[in-house]
Parts: sequence; C-alpha cells; structure tokens
Amino acid sequence: MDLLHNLYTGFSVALLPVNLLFCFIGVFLGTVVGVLPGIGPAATIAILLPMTFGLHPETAIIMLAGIFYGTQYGGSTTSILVNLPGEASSVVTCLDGYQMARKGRAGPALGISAFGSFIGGTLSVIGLMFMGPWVARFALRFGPPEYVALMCLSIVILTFLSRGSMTKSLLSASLGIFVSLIGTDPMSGVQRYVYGSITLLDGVGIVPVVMGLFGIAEVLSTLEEKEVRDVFVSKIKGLLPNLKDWRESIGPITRGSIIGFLLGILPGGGTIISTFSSYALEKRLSRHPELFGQGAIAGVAGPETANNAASTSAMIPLLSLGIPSNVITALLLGALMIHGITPSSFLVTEHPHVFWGVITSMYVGNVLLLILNLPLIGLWVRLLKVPYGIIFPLILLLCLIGVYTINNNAYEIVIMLIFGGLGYLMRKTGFEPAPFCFAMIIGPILEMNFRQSLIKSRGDFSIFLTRPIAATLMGVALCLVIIQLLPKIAKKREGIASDEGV
Amino acid sequence: MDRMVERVYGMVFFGLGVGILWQGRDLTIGGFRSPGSGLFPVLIAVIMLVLSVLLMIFPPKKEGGGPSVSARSAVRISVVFVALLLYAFLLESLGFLIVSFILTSLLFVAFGSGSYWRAILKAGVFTGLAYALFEILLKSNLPHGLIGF
Repeated sequence: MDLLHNLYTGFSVALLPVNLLFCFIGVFLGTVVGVLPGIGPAATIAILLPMTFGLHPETAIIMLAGIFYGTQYGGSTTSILVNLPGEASSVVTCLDGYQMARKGRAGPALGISAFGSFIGGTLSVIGLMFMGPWVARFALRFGPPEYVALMCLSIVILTFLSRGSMTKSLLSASLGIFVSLIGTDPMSGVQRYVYGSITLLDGVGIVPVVMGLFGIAEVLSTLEEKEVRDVFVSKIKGLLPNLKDWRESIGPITRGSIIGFLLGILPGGGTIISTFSSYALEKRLSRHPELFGQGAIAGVAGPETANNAASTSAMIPLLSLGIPSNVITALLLGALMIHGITPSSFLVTEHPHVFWGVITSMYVGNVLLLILNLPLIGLWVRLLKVPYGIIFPLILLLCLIGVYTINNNAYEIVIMLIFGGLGYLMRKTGFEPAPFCFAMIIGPILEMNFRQSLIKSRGDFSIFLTRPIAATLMGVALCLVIIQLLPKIAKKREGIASDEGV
Repeated sequence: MDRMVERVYGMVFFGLGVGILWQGRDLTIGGFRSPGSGLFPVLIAVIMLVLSVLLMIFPPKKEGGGPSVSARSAVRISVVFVALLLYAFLLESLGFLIVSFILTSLLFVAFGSGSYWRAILKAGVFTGLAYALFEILLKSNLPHGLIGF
C-alpha cells in the first residue's frame, strides 16, 4: 500500500499542468541537443540552470532530468541517419543502425530504438521506484567515512571508464577538486586561493565551469574542422518494426534493460559503458554474430535500451544518497542545492514530493518522448540540416547571456571563458574534462566528510579501513587502481575507450 | 616524441602541485585530530605531485602525437576566444545590444556564413531575438550601457 500511496504523491506532482509543461520542455530540448552533435546534455543543463531559479525545485529537476534522458532518445537519430553519434552514448548505435539505414530500413531502426528506449526507460523507472527507498534506508548506516569511501570509489570508477590514461584522468580529477576548494572554507570561514577577488569569495561556480568545459570548448574545437555531414535523405517509411524485428529485438531489449539498470546505478558508471556491454553481450549470444555490423536490429535494440535504462537508474545514487554518479547527475545535485534542498538519504522522507514527483515524471517523460520521436521524426531530420554556422554562434551567445544573468556579474563570463580555454586544451592534450567536472562538483562534500571523519576518529586514518562498508568501498577503489597498473588489463580498458555521458 | 610530450604534461601538473602547496602555505593545516582549512589542499596537492611523477616516469604510449592544430585554425580559434573575452570586459560599459551585435557578426563570419552583409543581417536578427527573450520576456536585467534601453 505504501507504494501506491507514494505513486499517488508522485503523480499528483508530476501531472500538475506546470510540471507537465516543464517535463515536455525538458524532453523536447533533450531530443534537440541529442540530435545535434556538438552540444550535449551537460552544457544544456548548465545553460538552463539559471533560468530555473524562479521555479519550484521539483519543477526544475523534472525539466533538467528530462533533458538528460531525452538526449538518449535524440542521440540515436543522428547515429542512424548520419553515422555520427549525437551523444557519446550512441556511438554503438552507429555500427548497425547506419547499416540498416543504408539498406533502406532506417524506419524500423529508428522505431526499435524509440520503443527500446521507452521500454528500457520505463522498466528502469519501476526498478528505481523499488530500489530508491531501499538504498536510502540502507544509507542511513552511512557516516562521513562511508561517504568519503563512496566518493573516492566514484572518482576511481569514472576515471577507470574514461578514455586514455588513467593517471591523466586522475590528475584531471585532482585538479577539479582543487578548483572546488577555491573560495571561503565552509567549516572555518577562512578564504582560500581567493587573492582578493569578490567573485571568487563564493567559490568558482559550477555553471560557468560546466558551460566553459562542455559548451565553449566544444564550439572552439569545431572551429578547426570543416563541416562534413551526409544526412541520409531518402524518405523514412515504416517506423513500426514488423513481427520478425520484434522477435529479434525482444531478447536484447530485456537484457539491455537489466544491463543498463545495473550499470547505471554504479557510482561513476554510466550510460556509455552499458551500451558497449549490451552490444558485446548480444553479439556473443546471437546465432548469427557475423551479421553484427551489417545491420542487425539486435545491435540497435540492445544498446539503445541499455543507455536509457542507465540514464534513469543513475538517478538512484543521487536521489537516495545525495551522491551523483556522473557529470549530469552532479549538475542535478547542484540544481537541488541551489533550490535549498540538500540531497541525502533523508530526501525520501523529508521531501517526498521532490523524490516521487521526479520519479513519476519520468514515466510521463518517456511517454512524451515516444510521441515526440516517432511521429515527429521528420522534424528532427530537418533539424539535422541546420548548418553549424547558425547553431554555434547561437550556443555561444546563449552561454554568454546565461552565465551573465546568474549574478549579473561579467567576471562570471571571464571564468567561463577561462574554463572554456582549459577545456579546449584538455581535449587537445588527452585529459578528460568529465572527471575534472565531476570531482569539482563533489569536492566540497568530499572535503567536509573527510574532515568530519577525522574529527570523529580523533585523527586516526584507520577509520576509513576499519568500518565494514567504508573498507569494502575503499578496497574496490584500490583494486581498480591496482588492476589499471597491470599492463594487460590497461590495454583492454583502452580498447573500450569511452567518455562519460557528456 | 609522444612520450616526451606526456612528460611535459607531467611537469606542468608537478608545477601546479608545488604552486598549490606554496600558495596555501599560510592556511592552517591543523592536526589530523582537528583538521584545518589547509589540510585538504595539501592532501590534494600531494596526490597531484605523486600522479604527475607517475606520468613522467610511465608516460602512456598511444595518446596520439601530441596536440596539432593548423595555423589557420589556431588563428580562427584565437580570434574567437579574444572576441569572447572582449565581450566580457566591454559588456557592462557598452551595453548588451552593441557588444552582442558586434560579437555575433564576427562569429557568423568566423563560422563561414556567406557574405559580410548576410552575417551582419543575421547578427541583427539574433541580437534582437536574444534581447526580446532575455530582457523583455525573462526580465534578465541585461546591461544597457551606452544606449538607454
């Protein structure tokens, strides 16, 4: 009965006209940025963050979360039609999706990825509904040392899954933590690394940094390349997959949902790794593995389902523990805090309308996305033809205005540009921006819990290793770092080059 | 050659780590029993130093041949970046409309959108729409600068 009551609470929030409207705006924008290569959900959420200040917290999160899972739908469209992943998490979809399109089966490919996304997303929401409160109850046993261990593990997993050298990703994360320390120390009120700047007193803002790293830097790097896009123009017909397609896809969709759900919960894990895992699994299970890469519908259905399931279950650590598991949920954490809600294991009990409202809005959002993505597919194809020469100046102007209007402070623009330049250099030199950004957002929480742990243990570092939960988490983190040092596995990991959902 | 580049990155981070330690020397570290505001920065800087030394000793092999940008692209990127910086510094004195118009004209040219006239025309439309959306609809209070509105 409890669940029914909670669902009622949730839907009574999610179905309010204003929340419905913002849910629609969120998933719509999500599809748009998913379709457009070059701008991802992180930059979009950062741009829109200041505009949500006037909204209720649940409305803001409903919209921002909609952008996140909406991009997973949109990203597949570009992969299938242009062979250019709109998002990192739809790279795998290019393999078989584009081949299907070349064989005149773009319709079923788009159709199955929309249906798969819908099923994966919805099953994952159901899982989230059961797991979320359970994880929150479990987390009541967490003290500061456990949080420290969990955050260390998140950073390690995130760097483990990042493209390229893990040492460089860890360096990037440590720089991120340092940047988060700039400003006034919340525990003692001492100014750190401020150098008399009033703008820096409150610390370096998350929004300018994310817009710089993922918006400005992206636009700067596109200035290098000539535009090469070959949109698949032939008429798209027959979006509904036939019975044979369904028979071939239902297994991958079911398995994709489970893989996505489980990998999405992992701290630091995410949508991208789930697509690779699903693809590899389907290829192994298939009776015709040779067809993979030549337009096998299972190779589209599995990964597309998995990335949506993962983007939904990634909300569990955020809503139940208050610990984000990737850059996007880290931004949502920032958004909640701006609205005066500190996510923790008490969120379920203290703010049930936020917790259940956001979860149930995802049901609504998935239905809206299915409607948006099937009948309106023509619109998205046309959007693909808008030249970059129009899109990128627009993105830059939006970033500039967006950052300025947070505090009406032009120095925030300068901060954004500095991080834009830094993000560009990081891309050029093979340092991943995602660990930097993630570490920067959780940095203050990490420091606070670290200091509280030491105070609690009277300066004894063994507190991180003697409590069972903390010890387990620290142990896993340590294992991952050591594994990475073994050359054989390091090589394999580089093979699964991935980039957290940005 | 590639490995040398990676070692240079390591040195940059080593320098950063030392810089953080040096600039944070006035912060109270406190004991482990009562950690002060300086303890965590020191810890992070030490981690950074260790990692950067690791990077210098074991530079990764397959990271591509270091950064490479054609001179043309470098010029375009620098021009756009400097223009954006100027935007930030001039926004409050000249006002939103003037700087946005100039910047977007330049961006349209940089992103290659036909003739100059078309770029200027598009810039005008863009700036107008942005003004309508943010100033009139969202009441964002953009700086007026030289023009009274």
